[in-house]
Amino acid sequence: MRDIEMSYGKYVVIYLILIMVLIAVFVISIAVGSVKISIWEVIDIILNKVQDDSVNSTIVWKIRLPRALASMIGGAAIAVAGLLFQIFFRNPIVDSYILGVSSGSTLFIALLMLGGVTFGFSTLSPYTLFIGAFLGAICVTAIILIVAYKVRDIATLLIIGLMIGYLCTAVTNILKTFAENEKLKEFIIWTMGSFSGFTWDQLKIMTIIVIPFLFGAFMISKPLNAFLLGEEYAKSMGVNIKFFRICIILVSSVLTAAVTAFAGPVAFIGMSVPHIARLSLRTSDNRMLVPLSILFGGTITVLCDLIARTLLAPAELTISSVTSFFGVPIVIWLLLKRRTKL
Amino acid sequence: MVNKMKKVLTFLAACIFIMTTLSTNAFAEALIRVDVNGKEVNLGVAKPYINKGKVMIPLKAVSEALGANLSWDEENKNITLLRGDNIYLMKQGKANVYVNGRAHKLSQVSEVKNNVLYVPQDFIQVVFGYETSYDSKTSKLSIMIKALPNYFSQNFRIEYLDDGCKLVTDGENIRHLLVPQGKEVPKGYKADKIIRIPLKKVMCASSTQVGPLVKLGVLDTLKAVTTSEKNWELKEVKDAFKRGSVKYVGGEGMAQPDYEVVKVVNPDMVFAYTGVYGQQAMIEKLSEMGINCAINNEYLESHYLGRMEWIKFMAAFYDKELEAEKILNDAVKEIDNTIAKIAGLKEPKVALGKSYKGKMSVADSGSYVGKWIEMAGGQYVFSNVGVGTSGSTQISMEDFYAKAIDADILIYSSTINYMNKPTIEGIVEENPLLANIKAVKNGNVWVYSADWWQTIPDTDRFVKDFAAVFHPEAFKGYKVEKLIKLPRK
Repeated sequence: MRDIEMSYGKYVVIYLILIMVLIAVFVISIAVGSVKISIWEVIDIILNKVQDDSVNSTIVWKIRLPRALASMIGGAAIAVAGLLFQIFFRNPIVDSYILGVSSGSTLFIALLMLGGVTFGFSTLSPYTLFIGAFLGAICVTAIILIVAYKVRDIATLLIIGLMIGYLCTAVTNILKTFAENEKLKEFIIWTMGSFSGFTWDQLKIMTIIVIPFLFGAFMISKPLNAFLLGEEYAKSMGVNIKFFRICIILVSSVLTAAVTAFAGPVAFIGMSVPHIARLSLRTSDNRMLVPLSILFGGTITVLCDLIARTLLAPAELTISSVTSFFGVPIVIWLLLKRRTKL
Repeated sequence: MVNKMKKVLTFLAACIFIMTTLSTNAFAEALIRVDVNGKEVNLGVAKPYINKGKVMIPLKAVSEALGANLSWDEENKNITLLRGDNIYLMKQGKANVYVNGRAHKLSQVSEVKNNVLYVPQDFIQVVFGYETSYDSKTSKLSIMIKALPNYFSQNFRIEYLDDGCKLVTDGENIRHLLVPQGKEVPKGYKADKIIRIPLKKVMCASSTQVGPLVKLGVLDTLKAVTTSEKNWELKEVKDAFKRGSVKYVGGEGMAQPDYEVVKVVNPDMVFAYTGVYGQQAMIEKLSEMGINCAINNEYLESHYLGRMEWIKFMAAFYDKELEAEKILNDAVKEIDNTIAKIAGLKEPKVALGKSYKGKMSVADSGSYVGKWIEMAGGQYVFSNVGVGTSGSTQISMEDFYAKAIDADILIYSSTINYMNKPTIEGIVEENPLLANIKAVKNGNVWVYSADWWQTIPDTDRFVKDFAAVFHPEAFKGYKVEKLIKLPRK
């Protein structure tokens, strides 16, 4: 009994530290950019809601803030989706894109950009790509859900997910073969992902989709613990397996889709953040891991996005290259030191 | 004494009276001014006059101010005017004007005075379709343009309102109300944006849009670009970078720019493009930041002169659209001259394409270069590829080989600065089969010049250079610039 109390106390401290780190990284990310603005001025602009046409106010309110918020929420969503999939497949090497969600998005974007298929939307709307990417992700998710309903075996489901991913990639590649150079370049840039140019409107849409599903992930974290010990065990604990499986797939796919649609695929966060959370706190309790993934995912993605946009400014790195470049050493180091089961 | 004073005063009064009447008469004779939408036309030495109730205006000065290309056949006393794809002919001393072959009779015969040819004011209505009105009180002939005609592109519009204001509709049907600096915004017009002109700080989000600014002489207003210094081929832009008057704001390779740097520059207009792979995301973000964008979709035009015609769109933001009109019409004339020069000459066989990993990409016959080959007196060996489409098509090496084997000229469609090895040996190394092509054997292989994509307003130059490459005998002493001959090694 004393043990548990102590560990709760420990977690509270850790959460507080992580929240403070997240806030610090967030503030740094708003204070740092290709244009120099002092941190005090940034704080002044935010706290006093200075929203005029001045350069610094525009940069803080309309460029850095929506972008930092987007990468924080986006990173959290991708990380939680990755965590859910890792538990669902009981496999430590899967990430948020394992069921072909991003290949679905990528295929639809390829149809739009390379194939000239517009799905009846105006080409002007900046939401055309978002809607296309979201539709692609949802289509693939729908197929997976149908399969998940029919197929009992999780390994089979995983393979089918991978197969659908391959299929989407194949069609995408066909489109790429016949595409003109400039179109191809634009498309490749999209597939590399970036939080550049996030507007408040886009942020609102993404947040409205992501927040309820993050909450949903938190709600299912208790049955997830049971699930981790095997479906039979979960069943005996009173979990409706069929419904629960669909819940996990739906929650994690929608989380992934919402971020991918606006920012493109963000590599590595979905796979590494759950590990970082698990390894650094040496726990596999999902009631802890969901909020931890949110905090770690947000912090790391904000930090990576900051690096992506400042390292070679005014040119920009893609978010995926930064996440992988800085994430891989961290994960390897943690793995070598680990004492927890994955 | 008083009498004497009276006499002197009367005399003075008479003098003043005579002088003023004389001078007003003299002014009425000498100072008829011509203006276009309120902007005075510089007539040089020419002096318009009134003949049988009509104002006689100097043909050359007024036509050129309105942007037409005018040429003079001294021998036959023929005058030719070009406006886009319209041609107008008239003979000195005759009252008829032939508009695309159809005769129109002017109110009066044209007259030559002091070496200047004058035509009656109704000439403007017949040739240009613009209304004119003469105010005898102010001795002013006003030419009123309601809308600037478009000849090759239907994707933008320039309409004129009162007081120097304009309504410009861009490539996405966004209506920009252009108001001269310091003037009041006119009421009652439906517009999406109000823009103060002339522009002072401009950002171009495509390198192809900068050429028109150079041509119009307004490059000093260019403050931000999305192409970095090393990728510019225009001397003027390189110089601007050295002076520090223009800034690279990121966004190379179709990525998004660094919005913070854009905001620091704070341009009063960003020229951007849309389309399936356009800059919608950037436009959305910039408008959230309160920065204006105008859509210049020149790259979507299927006609090369349509692409060039967008110079008028850019020019409208600087009040230089009639100069732009002249630049366009002069180019049309130059192209006509080139075509006339090579008429009847033997047509060489021309292949155009480039190889990538064993596949060949060739220009569609409906593309600009496809059309240029035909216009410049070449026989395009891929004339059945991509008929009516304006891009490039991938064909197999076999197909390429079969058709291009006896081509006299090979244009390898890469800009020279993007080639690993800009020599004939280099392209043969990449694709050994090319060695058997006649043009390669004879060393008649050309590539695009480095400034190919940045000099759209030089359309006439492209056609001329193609013609000069195909028919060097007709262009002795002429230096080809848009195509570069590859050395063997």
